Amino acid sequence: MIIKYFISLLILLLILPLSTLALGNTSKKQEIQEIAKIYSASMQYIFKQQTLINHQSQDKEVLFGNKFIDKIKLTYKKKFNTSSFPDENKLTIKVLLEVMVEVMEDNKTLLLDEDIKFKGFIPAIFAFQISEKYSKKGIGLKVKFTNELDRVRNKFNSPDSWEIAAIGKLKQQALSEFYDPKGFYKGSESFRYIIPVTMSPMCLTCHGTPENNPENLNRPINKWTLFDKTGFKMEHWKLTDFGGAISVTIYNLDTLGEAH
Amino acid sequence: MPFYGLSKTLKIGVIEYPPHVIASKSKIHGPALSYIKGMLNKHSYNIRFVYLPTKRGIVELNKGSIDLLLPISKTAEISHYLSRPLFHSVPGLCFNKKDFIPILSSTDRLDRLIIGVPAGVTLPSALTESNAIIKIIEGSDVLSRGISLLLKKRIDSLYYPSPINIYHYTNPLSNQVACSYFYGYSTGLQIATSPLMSHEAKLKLDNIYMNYLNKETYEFYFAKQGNDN
Repeated sequence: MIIKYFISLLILLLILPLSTLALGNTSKKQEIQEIAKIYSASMQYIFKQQTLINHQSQDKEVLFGNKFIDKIKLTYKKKFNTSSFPDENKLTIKVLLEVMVEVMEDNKTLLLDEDIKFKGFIPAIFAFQISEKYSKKGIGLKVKFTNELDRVRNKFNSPDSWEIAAIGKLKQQALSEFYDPKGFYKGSESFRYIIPVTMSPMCLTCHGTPENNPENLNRPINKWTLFDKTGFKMEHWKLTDFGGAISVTIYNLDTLGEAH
Repeated sequence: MPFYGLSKTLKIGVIEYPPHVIASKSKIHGPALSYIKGMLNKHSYNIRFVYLPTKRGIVELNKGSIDLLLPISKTAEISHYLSRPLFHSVPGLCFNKKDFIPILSSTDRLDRLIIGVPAGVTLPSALTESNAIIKIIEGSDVLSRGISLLLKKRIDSLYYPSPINIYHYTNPLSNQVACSYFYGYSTGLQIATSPLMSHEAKLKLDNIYMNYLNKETYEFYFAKQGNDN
């Protein structure tokens, strides 16, 4: 009887850590997916609000504070066809939403500036500001909008070696996501996740051909500008091209020595 | 009385840094001070804010006549800081509004522009690698002189270490100039502690600060204040 009890206990002790580990992996994957999806929804909202953003006098309350977060939640639910939003009490999500409010407040003067016609507050710029602030919150999480090395406009968005390989996988295997619980980040094993960003016609107004550039509308071809409104040379991308990727990393604060 | 031991009286030197710390003729105020006050009052500290210019603030901190100094970027002249920055600042370029360039990573737009730069500052590589013409502004009160040069159109743009100090909807100067940012080059603005403060006292203060930050960061507190306006 006693032997039987000890054997059962031993089996339990062997199984428990494995199941906890599996559960930990699942919850990490879910958490990392949620972060990527919220980030993606926020970029889409900024994308769709370009007219309001660049408007010189309209009421812009929806771009700030809780009203902005409510819009992000709505966009999230619509984009991912769900009635619920991830748990806001989770530290990573709470901080991400706070960072969004902070970024919008940081840009408030520009967004409300009635003298400036084009504010330059495009999704990539918004996403970069979110990434920069989020990475400084000391919670061991990094989110980034990246692309293939020769397709990034800002060197700070360049992919690292894991992202280069992961983007290759997304493209070659036409994956909708790639999760790696043992991906390397700065030399340490980390949870890494990446999803592709689909190109839309609006992307082409900057990244497409000069023909797609609204500034060339009604101009003779010999007067067309080759630069988009942000000042970059247009890259001649097509709708079927790879539009970039959202990369999320949960890394170990202790091994990377970052302050919590 | 300065905070050498575990005394509950703190003398805090504050440096003007609008819109976080605003120095007007009669008083110093601003959301950074309200946040610090809220944090320390919860722990029954008696606090006194003293407005100081940066250089004098550093001297007074090192002498121990003030316990804390804020907000300040890390410098070799100060040896001790609380664990995390209070907020971050991003450098940028300020323009007369009609010449505004919104995205500075498109460095082609900076070609042949005359950009005023305060003497002694370290510039971001996005600027040094561009074909802009750098004009060093020397002397005292370089930022005010730079703004004056900009408004007189003697320079096309002014490099500003922290454009939020002038391009903020609470500042009337934002009616004339607009600034854009070199994202990716942010620096932390810290709370420095006096080297004469005891290790125990600093540790206690740091714990209070970190717990308070974990509940609500100053950056989020500041953003919320903006939404209340």
